[in-house]
Amino acid sequence: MRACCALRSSEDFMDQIFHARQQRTVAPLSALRKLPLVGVYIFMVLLCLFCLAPFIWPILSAFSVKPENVSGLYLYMPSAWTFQGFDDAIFGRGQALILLQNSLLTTGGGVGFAVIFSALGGYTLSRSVFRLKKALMYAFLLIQIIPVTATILPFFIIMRELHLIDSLWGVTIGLTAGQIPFLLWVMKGFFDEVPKELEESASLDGATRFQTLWYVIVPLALPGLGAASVLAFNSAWSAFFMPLILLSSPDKFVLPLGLFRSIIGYTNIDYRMMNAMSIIYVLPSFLFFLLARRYLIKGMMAGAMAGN
Amino acid sequence: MISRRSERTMLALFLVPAVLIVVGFTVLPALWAIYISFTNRALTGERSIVYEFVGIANYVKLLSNPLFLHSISLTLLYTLWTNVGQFVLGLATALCLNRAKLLGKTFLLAAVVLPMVIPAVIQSLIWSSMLAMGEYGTLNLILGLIGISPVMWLREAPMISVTLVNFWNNSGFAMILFLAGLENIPREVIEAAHIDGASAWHTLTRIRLPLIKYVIMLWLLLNTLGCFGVFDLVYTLTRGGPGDRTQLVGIFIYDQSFKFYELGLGSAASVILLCISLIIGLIYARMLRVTL
Repeated sequence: MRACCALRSSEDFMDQIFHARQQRTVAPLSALRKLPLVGVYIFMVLLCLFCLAPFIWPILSAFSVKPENVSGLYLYMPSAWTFQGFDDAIFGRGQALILLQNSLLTTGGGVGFAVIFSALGGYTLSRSVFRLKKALMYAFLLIQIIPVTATILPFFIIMRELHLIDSLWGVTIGLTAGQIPFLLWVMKGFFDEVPKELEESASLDGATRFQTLWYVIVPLALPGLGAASVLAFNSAWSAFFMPLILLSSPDKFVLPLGLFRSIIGYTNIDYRMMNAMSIIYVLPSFLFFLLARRYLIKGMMAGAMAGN
Repeated sequence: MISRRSERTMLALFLVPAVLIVVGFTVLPALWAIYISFTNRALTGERSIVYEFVGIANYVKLLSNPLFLHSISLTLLYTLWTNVGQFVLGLATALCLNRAKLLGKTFLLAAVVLPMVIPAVIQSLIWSSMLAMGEYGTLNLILGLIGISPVMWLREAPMISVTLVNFWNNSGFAMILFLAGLENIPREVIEAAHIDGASAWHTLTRIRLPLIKYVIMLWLLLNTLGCFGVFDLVYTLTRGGPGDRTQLVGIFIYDQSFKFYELGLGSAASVILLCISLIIGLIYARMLRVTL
């Protein structure tokens, strides 16, 4: 999904593609046109159920009182509603606040650094011509789509040499490195859209290169920059493998790790608390979904068209 | 346009931090993995400090290790079923949705994207309830309605369970890509085919599919890469178990390195995974024909 999003260079570009496509949408002629419309709707309803039904249990479970004789893992008819699960998660043994703090520090830091470094790098990639530029861009594309699994082990060894094991800094650096290739591509795309004449006039007025970048280019690219950061944040927020191998003390755990350890750690799992914690954890992802839903779909669609 | 020398240096400096971090924490590790894979280094103990060059011994050991071969075959199976299943589901959905007027299309697209933004740990938690055993497990409850007796999903059919969760999480990608491809076909092409008397099946196989071939290839490469490198979902759902029945390559690497401390062996497996990923990645990058 990310690789495809990286391909579209800006929202305008996507809009163009999207609208051009919409006007050409195939009207009633479809390969499946013999299939009655009713069949299509039944299929759509089933698909919708498949996608959404799994969310019923965590929401029910987090907000309700479980009947005595039922396993917490099953769907049940709640006898009463309560916020006790969130109380347990935040102030009880869930320790969600510490986990949340660690997650925010590492993800925020990692994405923050990645955005700054990629904005600088992306600007250079967009504005200057040098040998190896093409090779560099291809290398970043490759690095971005190669699964973490393939490089995690030596990454661990390097972090150990640097004494960054069991440290939030280690996770932050890992997340930064993980987000840079994607962000560089996106940033380069954004800067490509900013007209060069603007810079030339700024430079005629005596602005330095850095001033031009900071006062002229960045404000123009800001909406795109924001969108890219949000995308990177969501991806870093769900990172699991890297924190899993780096962190070992519970007070340094990030949310996904803390959740995972609680799932496998307790023999008698308090599902209400777990689900309350999950909801806290998923909230940013869900907000991201609400905000970026159309943009995500369009991004993927534009990605499918790129290079065609 | 960049004339002054100092400006050029400054621009080059802008690129340095990003390149340094990526080289230091992604490229260097990959190269180091290749080196370690030729040694007998261990994660802890004596062999973590004093280790020696053992040539291709790790690779020989790996390729004669039944567990590794098992994990390779599981990964291939997982990739195959995921690709075939999501292709069929994705194409069917795209064909259904590829109509001008369809109520709830936007809603459905949103619904299929939602699982894609859910982190793997939560996917596993949610599905541990869906796949719960006994007749009151949610999926068993639903299957009970059509008369199928309860299945102990995570114990009896762990691979099917993992594949199913991946379906839930990832099918939207295929659906949206294929739909974009189909909607991009000019309607005149399809109309012409109909006028020439082509059947629905022929329009699909001779016109639509060939026209979205490119999109399908991109999706296939990305999906395959994802399947080969899968770790989070499988580990959080089954931890490779029961026994070794969901021990995919990612889990194998993790177990060898962090459970049995055999860095050499783990690295060799990493290098193999890296090579496969690089090949697929290179094909992908070439196919994109990106303008730089």
